[in-house]
Amino acid sequence: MKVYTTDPPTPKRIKVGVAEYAVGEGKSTLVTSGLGSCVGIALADTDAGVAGLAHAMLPSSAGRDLEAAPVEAADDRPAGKYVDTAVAGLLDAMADRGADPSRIEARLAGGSAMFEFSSAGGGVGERNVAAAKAALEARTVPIVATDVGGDYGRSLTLEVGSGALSVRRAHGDTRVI
Amino acid sequence: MNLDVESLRTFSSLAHSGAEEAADSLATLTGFDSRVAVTKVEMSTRSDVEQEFRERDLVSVHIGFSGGIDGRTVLAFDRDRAVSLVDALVPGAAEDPASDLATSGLKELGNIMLGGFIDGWADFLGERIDITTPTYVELDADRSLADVIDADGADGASPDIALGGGARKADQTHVLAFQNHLETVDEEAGFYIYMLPTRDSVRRIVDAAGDGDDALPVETFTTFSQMITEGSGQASADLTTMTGINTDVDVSRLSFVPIEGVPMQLTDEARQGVVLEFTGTPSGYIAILFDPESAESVADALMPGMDADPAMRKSAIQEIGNIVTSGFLDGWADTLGTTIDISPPTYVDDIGSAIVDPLVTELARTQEYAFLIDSAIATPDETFTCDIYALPDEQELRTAFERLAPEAN
Repeated sequence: MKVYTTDPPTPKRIKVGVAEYAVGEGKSTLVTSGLGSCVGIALADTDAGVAGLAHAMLPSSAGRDLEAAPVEAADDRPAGKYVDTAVAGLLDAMADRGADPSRIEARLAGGSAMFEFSSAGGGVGERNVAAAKAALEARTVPIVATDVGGDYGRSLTLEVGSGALSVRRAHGDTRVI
Repeated sequence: MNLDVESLRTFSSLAHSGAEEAADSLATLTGFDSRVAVTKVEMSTRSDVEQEFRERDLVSVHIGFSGGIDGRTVLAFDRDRAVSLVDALVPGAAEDPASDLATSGLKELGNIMLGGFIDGWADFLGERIDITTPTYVELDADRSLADVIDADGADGASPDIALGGGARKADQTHVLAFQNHLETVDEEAGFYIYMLPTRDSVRRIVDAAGDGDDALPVETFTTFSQMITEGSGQASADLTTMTGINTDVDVSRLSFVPIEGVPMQLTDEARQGVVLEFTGTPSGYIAILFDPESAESVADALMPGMDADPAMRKSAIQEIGNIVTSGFLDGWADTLGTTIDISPPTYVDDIGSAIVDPLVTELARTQEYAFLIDSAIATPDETFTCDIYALPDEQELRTAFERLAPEAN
């Protein structure tokens, strides 16, 4: 059975903005730029040809003033500002597009510590990565590769078909995980 | 007239949903998918808005609106994008982009998209808003927004849309502009919807949306915006003294933007420069960034004739960062009657948007929206451009605004 029948003839490139997530199918790629302390969460079910990418800013939505800024934006543009809501939303959206939760594998990138600020509570990058690991573990999604930490920024390209995540640093150094 | 942060949030959210309506209309009409990347409430001068148009080579359709609120909207396209859109709407129009057929196609597009944009405001206010016939405006040089902003002031004094400083030159008059950047799903190219309500209309929306306790006279924002312009001017003068190369302030803007929209002001391109933290009222972060060519030129200018190694170049950039930051911020402390301490600069050479990301993330822990200050200082001969991004803490900036308020009154 062919799961996806509406693939465009040319590979589609889907941009994921800051605090967003998106799901792609078939031969599409998902891209997001400029991860500093933000964490990129890439999930893929390669058998179904469904993958998703989130660009999350902060570890948790708990304790936030949700009334002021709803976490969920419009239906077609789900917000992925917080790691916990992004993981939950991304997994649901992938299941809706035919992914089998038991086959989904995760890759993480980002969460760097580029600057040391005097303001209290630094280390957001590290906490973002820890939150992503915890959220995925809670849903028994295995993490197959990571490229996290350090003191530099990253941009990501996720190939939906293979689940391969290209991690690009400034000046073009690229690592595929 | 008073303006408060709650109103700004409402403005931002209304403008965002209006822009989504417009994007839907565009998809229905042309099959062209787009999404709203960033919605900003800008408190800037007409010349700054026009500068944005020039930088991006935009063509535009202007439509007025009246009723519940009055003002003008502008739909601005990248020139290439305009041609392809019109062709989808009026097949064959792209063969002669300057023809009446092409421009009338664009006007029709503007009519439908801007109509969708305005509908959301009418719903919010519970009042009818009518739109006028669209005009096509080719953006030639400096007067591209003259009909929008100077609509009621034949002498250029623009009494109606301006927010304050009525005696100033028209192009230096402050306006409240809602800028929505829409982009295609698969690429950066895009278009912009600007909305410029009249002064009376801003008051009307504030009355409907605002929180009276929190409100500050709108002149406060204007004063702050002028303070930023002066800071940019000082930074430019200091940079000129230091490098021996003449520089000017290209842009100096204050905008109110959802916090996650801030990194999207920058691209994936590499930037070199410094990041500093400032503490006081307000505290916040500042990034002074150069593209690689500019960084090289500015370091060369500082060490003429020297065969500088990377360590020396890095230290030259740090020194420039120090000078620019202090020129930019020192005036704030004077105007606000406060002390602002600046941390030592941290050198960065990284992906532009990733440099700003950690600054934004720190602020995002306590605020959903940010006041973004962005300035560009450039040499007339394009030897280098220096971009300044400052992100003050929202609460502390409000405290700073309160200090400005008595003066404005």
